[in-house]
Amino acid sequence: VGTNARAWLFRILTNLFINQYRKKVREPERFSMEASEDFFLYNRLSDLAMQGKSVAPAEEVIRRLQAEAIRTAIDNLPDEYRETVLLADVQEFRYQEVAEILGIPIGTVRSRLSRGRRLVQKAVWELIEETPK
Amino acid sequence: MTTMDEYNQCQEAVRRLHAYLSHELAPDDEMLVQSHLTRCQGCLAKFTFEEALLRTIREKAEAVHAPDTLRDKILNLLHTEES
Repeated sequence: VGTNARAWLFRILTNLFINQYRKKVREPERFSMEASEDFFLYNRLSDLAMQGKSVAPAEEVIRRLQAEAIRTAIDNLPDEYRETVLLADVQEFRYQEVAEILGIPIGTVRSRLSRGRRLVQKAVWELIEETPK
Repeated sequence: MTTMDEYNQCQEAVRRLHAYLSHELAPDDEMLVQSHLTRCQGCLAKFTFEEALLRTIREKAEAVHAPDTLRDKILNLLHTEES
Protein backbone atom coordinates (compact mmCIF):
# COMPACT_ATOMS: atom_id res chain seq x y z
CA VAL A 1 0.00 0.00 0.00
CA GLY A 2 1.41 3.36 -0.96
CA THR A 3 1.90 6.17 1.46
CA ASN A 4 -1.11 8.03 0.13
CA ALA A 5 -3.68 5.29 0.67
CA ARG A 6 -2.36 4.56 4.13
CA ALA A 7 -2.24 8.21 5.04
CA TRP A 8 -5.72 8.77 3.68
CA LEU A 9 -7.23 5.94 5.68
CA PHE A 10 -5.60 7.22 8.81
CA ARG A 11 -6.91 10.67 8.12
CA ILE A 12 -10.41 9.24 8.37
CA LEU A 13 -9.46 7.41 11.52
CA THR A 14 -7.87 10.52 12.97
CA ASN A 15 -10.95 12.58 12.33
CA LEU A 16 -13.05 9.93 14.02
CA PHE A 17 -11.10 9.91 17.21
CA ILE A 18 -10.42 13.61 17.23
CA ASN A 19 -14.15 14.17 17.13
CA GLN A 20 -14.49 11.72 19.96
CA TYR A 21 -11.95 13.71 21.95
CA ARG A 22 -13.70 16.97 21.18
CA LYS A 23 -16.86 15.64 22.78
CA LYS A 24 -15.09 15.57 26.09
CA VAL A 25 -15.43 18.73 28.05
CA ARG A 26 -11.99 20.12 28.62
CA GLU A 27 -11.04 22.96 30.84
CA PRO A 28 -9.95 25.76 28.55
CA GLU A 29 -6.23 26.64 28.72
CA ARG A 30 -5.50 24.27 31.52
CA PHE A 31 -1.89 25.23 31.36
CA SER A 32 0.01 28.18 30.04
CA MET A 33 1.13 27.93 26.45
CA GLU A 34 4.63 28.99 27.37
CA ALA A 35 6.83 26.03 26.80
CA SER A 36 9.81 27.36 24.97
CA GLU A 37 12.37 25.38 26.91
CA ASP A 38 13.94 22.25 25.48
CA PHE A 39 14.52 19.50 28.07
CA PHE A 40 11.89 21.10 30.31
CA LEU A 41 11.09 17.92 32.20
CA TYR A 42 14.69 16.76 32.41
CA ASN A 43 15.69 20.12 33.86
CA ARG A 44 12.87 20.12 36.44
CA LEU A 45 13.65 16.54 37.53
CA SER A 46 17.35 17.36 37.74
CA ASP A 47 16.50 20.35 39.96
CA LEU A 48 14.52 18.03 42.25
CA ALA A 49 17.41 15.59 42.48
CA MET A 50 19.83 18.46 43.25
CA GLN A 51 17.59 19.65 46.06
CA GLY A 52 17.54 16.13 47.41
CA LYS A 53 13.77 15.91 46.97
CA SER A 54 13.88 12.95 44.66
CA VAL A 55 15.87 9.80 45.20
CA ALA A 56 14.94 8.34 41.83
CA PRO A 57 16.94 9.27 38.74
CA ALA A 58 14.97 11.07 36.04
CA GLU A 59 14.62 7.92 33.91
CA GLU A 60 13.12 6.05 36.84
CA VAL A 61 10.55 8.78 37.43
CA ILE A 62 9.56 8.49 33.77
CA ARG A 63 9.34 4.72 33.91
CA ARG A 64 6.97 4.97 36.86
CA LEU A 65 4.63 7.36 35.09
CA GLN A 66 1.17 5.89 34.93
CA ALA A 67 -0.58 5.46 31.61
CA GLU A 68 -3.36 7.62 33.03
CA ALA A 69 -0.98 10.54 33.57
CA ILE A 70 0.29 10.29 30.01
CA ARG A 71 -3.24 10.10 28.63
CA THR A 72 -4.26 13.14 30.63
CA ALA A 73 -1.23 15.06 29.43
CA ILE A 74 -2.03 14.26 25.79
CA ASP A 75 -5.77 14.70 26.18
CA ASN A 76 -5.32 18.24 27.44
CA LEU A 77 -3.21 19.38 24.50
CA PRO A 78 -4.85 21.78 22.07
CA ASP A 79 -6.19 19.76 19.09
CA GLU A 80 -3.49 20.65 16.57
CA TYR A 81 -0.71 19.55 18.92
CA ARG A 82 -2.56 16.48 20.14
CA GLU A 83 -3.16 15.08 16.68
CA THR A 84 0.46 15.70 15.65
CA VAL A 85 1.87 14.08 18.80
CA LEU A 86 -0.46 11.09 18.47
CA LEU A 87 0.42 10.47 14.84
CA ALA A 88 4.16 11.13 15.00
CA ASP A 89 5.06 9.92 18.49
CA VAL A 90 2.45 7.30 19.32
CA GLN A 91 1.67 5.91 15.86
CA GLU A 92 5.18 6.58 14.55
CA PHE A 93 4.17 7.96 11.20
CA ARG A 94 6.86 9.67 9.12
CA TYR A 95 6.65 13.47 9.04
CA GLN A 96 5.61 13.28 5.39
CA GLU A 97 2.75 10.94 6.28
CA VAL A 98 1.61 13.14 9.17
CA ALA A 99 1.62 16.08 6.76
CA GLU A 100 -0.59 14.15 4.33
CA ILE A 101 -2.95 12.89 7.01
CA LEU A 102 -3.46 16.32 8.52
CA GLY A 103 -3.24 18.24 5.25
CA ILE A 104 -0.53 20.58 6.52
CA PRO A 105 3.00 21.40 5.27
CA ILE A 106 5.84 19.26 6.63
CA GLY A 107 7.37 22.37 8.26
CA THR A 108 4.18 22.75 10.28
CA VAL A 109 4.47 19.12 11.37
CA ARG A 110 7.96 19.85 12.66
CA SER A 111 6.98 22.97 14.55
CA ARG A 112 3.82 21.46 16.01
CA LEU A 113 5.67 18.37 17.11
CA SER A 114 8.45 20.24 18.88
CA ARG A 115 5.92 22.47 20.60
CA GLY A 116 3.57 19.57 21.29
CA ARG A 117 6.35 17.58 22.92
CA ARG A 118 7.24 20.51 25.14
CA LEU A 119 3.62 20.92 26.15
CA VAL A 120 3.38 17.22 27.00
CA GLN A 121 6.45 17.57 29.20
CA LYS A 122 4.97 20.57 30.92
CA ALA A 123 1.68 18.76 31.55
CA VAL A 124 3.49 15.66 32.82
CA TRP A 125 5.51 17.85 35.17
CA GLU A 126 2.34 19.45 36.53
CA LEU A 127 0.92 15.99 37.20
CA ILE A 128 4.11 14.90 38.96
CA GLU A 129 3.97 18.04 41.11
CA GLU A 130 0.33 17.41 42.01
CA THR A 131 1.04 13.85 43.09
CA PRO A 132 1.30 13.60 46.87
CA LYS A 133 4.82 12.61 47.87
CA MET B 1 38.86 23.01 21.73
CA THR B 2 37.47 26.32 22.97
CA THR B 3 34.43 26.62 25.17
CA MET B 4 32.66 28.48 22.40
CA ASP B 5 33.18 25.54 20.04
CA GLU B 6 31.72 23.18 22.58
CA TYR B 7 28.75 25.45 23.09
CA ASN B 8 28.14 25.63 19.36
CA GLN B 9 28.36 21.88 19.02
CA CYS B 10 25.78 21.42 21.76
CA GLN B 11 23.55 23.97 20.05
CA GLU B 12 23.87 22.22 16.72
CA ALA B 13 22.93 18.90 18.32
CA VAL B 14 20.00 20.34 20.28
CA ARG B 15 18.71 22.09 17.16
CA ARG B 16 18.33 18.61 15.65
CA LEU B 17 16.79 17.01 18.77
CA HIS B 18 13.22 16.55 17.58
CA ALA B 19 14.09 15.26 14.13
CA TYR B 20 16.69 12.98 15.74
CA LEU B 21 14.09 11.52 18.09
CA SER B 22 11.79 10.90 15.13
CA HIS B 23 14.59 9.34 13.02
CA GLU B 24 13.95 12.02 10.43
CA LEU B 25 17.50 13.35 10.08
CA ALA B 26 19.54 12.96 6.93
CA PRO B 27 22.40 10.45 7.48
CA ASP B 28 25.02 13.22 7.71
CA ASP B 29 23.04 15.10 10.34
CA GLU B 30 22.33 11.93 12.27
CA MET B 31 26.04 11.17 12.35
CA LEU B 32 26.79 14.70 13.51
CA VAL B 33 24.43 14.27 16.48
CA GLN B 34 25.64 10.78 17.32
CA SER B 35 29.28 11.77 17.25
CA HIS B 36 28.53 14.77 19.48
CA LEU B 37 26.74 12.49 21.94
CA THR B 38 29.83 10.29 22.26
CA ARG B 39 31.83 13.36 23.26
CA CYS B 40 29.36 15.30 25.43
CA GLN B 41 28.05 13.73 28.64
CA GLY B 42 25.60 16.59 29.21
CA CYS B 43 23.86 16.20 25.87
CA LEU B 44 24.01 12.41 26.09
CA ALA B 45 22.12 12.46 29.40
CA LYS B 46 19.48 14.81 27.99
CA PHE B 47 19.02 12.99 24.70
CA THR B 48 18.83 9.63 26.49
CA PHE B 49 16.16 11.04 28.77
CA GLU B 50 14.14 12.35 25.83
CA GLU B 51 14.33 8.95 24.13
CA ALA B 52 13.18 7.19 27.30
CA LEU B 53 10.29 9.61 27.73
CA LEU B 54 9.19 9.19 24.15
CA ARG B 55 9.31 5.40 24.48
CA THR B 56 7.21 5.55 27.64
CA ILE B 57 4.66 7.84 26.00
CA ARG B 58 4.47 5.51 23.00
CA GLU B 59 3.94 2.42 25.13
CA LYS B 60 1.44 3.91 27.53
CA ALA B 61 -0.57 6.11 25.20
CA GLU B 62 -0.96 3.35 22.62
CA ALA B 63 -4.05 1.98 24.31
CA VAL B 64 -5.98 5.24 24.29
CA HIS B 65 -5.37 6.64 20.96
CA ALA B 66 -7.69 4.72 18.67
CA PRO B 67 -10.69 2.52 19.19
CA ASP B 68 -9.26 -0.99 18.71
CA THR B 69 -12.13 -2.35 16.67
CA LEU B 70 -11.90 0.42 14.14
CA ARG B 71 -8.15 0.24 14.06
CA ASP B 72 -8.24 -3.52 13.47
CA LYS B 73 -10.70 -3.12 10.65
CA ILE B 74 -8.50 -0.62 8.91
CA LEU B 75 -5.36 -2.66 9.46
CA ASN B 76 -7.13 -5.74 8.06
CA LEU B 77 -8.17 -3.72 5.07
CA LEU B 78 -4.56 -2.69 4.51
CA HIS B 79 -3.34 -6.27 4.79
CA THR B 80 -6.01 -7.49 2.38
CA GLU B 81 -4.98 -4.86 -0.09
CA GLU B 82 -1.33 -5.87 0.25
CA SER B 83 -1.83 -9.58 -0.39
